[in-house]
Amino acid sequence: MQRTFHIFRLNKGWAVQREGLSAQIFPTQREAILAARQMVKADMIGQIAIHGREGEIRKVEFYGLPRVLTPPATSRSAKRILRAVSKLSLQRAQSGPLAP
Amino acid sequence: MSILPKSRHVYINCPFDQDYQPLFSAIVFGVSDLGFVVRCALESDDAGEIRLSKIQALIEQCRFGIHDLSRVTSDATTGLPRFNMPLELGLFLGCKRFGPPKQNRKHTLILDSEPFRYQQYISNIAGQDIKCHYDRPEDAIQHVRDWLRTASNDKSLPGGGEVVRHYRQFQIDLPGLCSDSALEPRQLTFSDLRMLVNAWVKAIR
Repeated sequence: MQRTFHIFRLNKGWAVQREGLSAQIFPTQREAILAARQMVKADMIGQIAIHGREGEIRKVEFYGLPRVLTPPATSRSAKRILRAVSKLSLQRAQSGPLAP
Repeated sequence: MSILPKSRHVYINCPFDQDYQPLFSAIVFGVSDLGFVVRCALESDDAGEIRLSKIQALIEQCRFGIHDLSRVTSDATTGLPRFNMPLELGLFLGCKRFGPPKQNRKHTLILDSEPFRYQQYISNIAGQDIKCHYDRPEDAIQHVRDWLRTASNDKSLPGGGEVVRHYRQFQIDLPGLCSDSALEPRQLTFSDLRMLVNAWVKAIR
């Protein structure tokens, strides 16, 4: 099972969802982040990817996993790569069922 | 003024030809997934000439070094072996031995394709940490993980099996990511590969 919890805009709320599992919906992003932190801490290990309104990943938090460090030089294709990875990660996370 | 080696930077000394690409991708992935930064001579100008001064500067900046000697073999055309990898290994060991005190915290992993093959062409490195990957990317990941766990003393590093599982999933996702990023999977530059790996690990593992 993947270790990443995704927080993303869904309808008028914010969802917390891990690939293959049900989503939980919260009224605000702040509440979704707090809930995701509790879920990761219960697992002892994981990471939280916080997506912006357009789906782009704007922040990642690490818990019990090595922090991914930014290399000194970036790729010329960096923006396109980040967009593609954000899109794929959201598609994969949203492949699970939504909470009733 | 000397440059202090960065505590989580890993210098990769290996060939850059197409034949070696699966092992190179696996090592880049393993190092990144374990929370270290991959550095190599291709990072500033992927297609440009690799100058000794650039390699020396990178070696000085990195605390860890992975040196793959598996392609130190006779060239089919010239009959001569390629000595770039042993040369860079010598520079790394020399920096550790003769550099300023902070440089003696350097750690070296030497990889080869067969056990004890190195004894036939560079026997003086006996006693170093030499591991055999049999040209299998997943074996290389496992060796890199075990070595980094010991050398860095970082107890939070995930097990080799988990890193290999992530690597397999990344390999499945890579063609689609390249397509969406307008990149050709077989012609990725080092910077693009490192960026793809870093972004994937942050978002999907």
